[in-house]
Amino acid sequence: MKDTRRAENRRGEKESSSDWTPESAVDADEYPVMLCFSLKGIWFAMDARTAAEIVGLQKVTAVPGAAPYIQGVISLHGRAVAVLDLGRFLGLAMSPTEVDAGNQEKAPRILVLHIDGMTVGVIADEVDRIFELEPEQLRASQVHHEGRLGEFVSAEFDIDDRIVTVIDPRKIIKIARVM
Amino acid sequence: MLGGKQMSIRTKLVFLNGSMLLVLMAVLLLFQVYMVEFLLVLAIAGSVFIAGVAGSYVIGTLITNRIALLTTITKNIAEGDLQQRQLDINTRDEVGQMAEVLADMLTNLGSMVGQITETALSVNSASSEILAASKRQEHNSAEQASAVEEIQRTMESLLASSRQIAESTQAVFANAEKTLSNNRLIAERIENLNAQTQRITEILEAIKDIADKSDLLALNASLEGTKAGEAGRGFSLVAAEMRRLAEDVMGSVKHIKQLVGDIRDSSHASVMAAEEGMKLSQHTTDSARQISLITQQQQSGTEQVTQSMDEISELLRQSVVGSKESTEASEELMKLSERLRYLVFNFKVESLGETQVESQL
Repeated sequence: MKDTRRAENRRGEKESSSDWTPESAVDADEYPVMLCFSLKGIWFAMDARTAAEIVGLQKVTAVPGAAPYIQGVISLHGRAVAVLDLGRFLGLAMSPTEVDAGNQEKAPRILVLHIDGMTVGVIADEVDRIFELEPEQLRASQVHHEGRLGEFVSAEFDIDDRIVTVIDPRKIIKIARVM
Repeated sequence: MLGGKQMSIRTKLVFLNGSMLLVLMAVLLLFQVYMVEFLLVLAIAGSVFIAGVAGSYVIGTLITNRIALLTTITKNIAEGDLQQRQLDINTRDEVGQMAEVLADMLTNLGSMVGQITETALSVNSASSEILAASKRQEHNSAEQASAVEEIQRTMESLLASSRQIAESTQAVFANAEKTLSNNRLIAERIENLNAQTQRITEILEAIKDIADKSDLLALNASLEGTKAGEAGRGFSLVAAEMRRLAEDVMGSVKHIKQLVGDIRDSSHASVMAAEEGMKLSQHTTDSARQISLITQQQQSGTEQVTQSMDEISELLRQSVVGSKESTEASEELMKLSERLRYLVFNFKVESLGETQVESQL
């Protein structure tokens, strides 16, 4: 259903969009390298250069009085790093397919993002791959995303019969810090 | 014959009287003259004498006749004729008494012979009954003996069957014991297998952990390669290969885990089966023990019956011998009674209605 809708949107995009360019979607000074991961049954991709490292899932200590989308803190190399509940922050609900997929063995990871001197952890259900994307693969997304997701989507692309939504981590961090 | 005897007695008497007369005549002639008076006396004496002679003759004849009668009767008795008859002698002298005693004797002898004859007849018929009875008994004893033999043969075969059952039961017992120990061994080995499977599971967990860490390392390496820009490209490719390998290991671990799970299920089922087999073997052992016990009881029972049958057989054999002896004895008794009857029939007794002996009187 979602795929069909997206496919329709894609056709619409080809007809209407004119101001969108691949260069505007990601930093064009280098090859776009994508870190591809899944969260709540949705495949996301973001600029891999924003990720300082990826660590295994570990105990998250809750912080009293913090914002509801702050899951808590983890200890990383002797420093406390805040962990953002991205699903909550974006207002994602777990889709039925994700519930079924929960039976499959997954390796949840914490993506440690380092943006503008700030370090934030984001829990991903699964990290798929890190790869170089040809700029031609990118296209503008005109899908109406649920919750606040739409604010952070910059583009989308297809890979292995999946539609991957490209989000802007810098924007997310900026907003999250403001809030 | 009787008349001859009478004549001779009479002649003797006449001769005696004649000689006495001659002597008297001579004496008379000598003394006739002198003794006329005396003659008269003599005449009286002579007449008295004659009268005496005549009287003695008459009396003698009477006595002789009666004695002859008695002689005849005695002679008949000697020949076995005991028929009652009227002895026509009613005098009170010795001859009369003799006749009376003789008559009593005849009566007693007759009744005695009659009783003996009747008894002999009774003995005869009784002994023939005994003979028939003992022959029947002999026949019955023989039949019983053959029946007992039949039972003895049956008991023998029963005993043989019991022995066979006991042997078979022993074999079953041994087999059950063997099965029990085998099952125990199987259960132990499967327990060992379970322990080893558990160890495999632990190792798999360790491998999975290592693969996960490898995946993470490869991811970070890839990230580092990305940061290195153009120079880090090859590095990123190698890292991607490493990730694929780690994923392959993960897949293999998953597969092995499934197989180990299957092995665990199978071994669990095997343990259950082995335990069931142990229970069954135990039951078999118990049943075999029960059968063994019952067979032993049956065997001893059969032996007792056989022993009793032997005793019965011996008793029957003795009974057959006794019956034969009894038959022989009753046959002998019959012969004897026949002979007794034959002997008794020689007597002529009124009650028997045999031929009458005619009286001489």
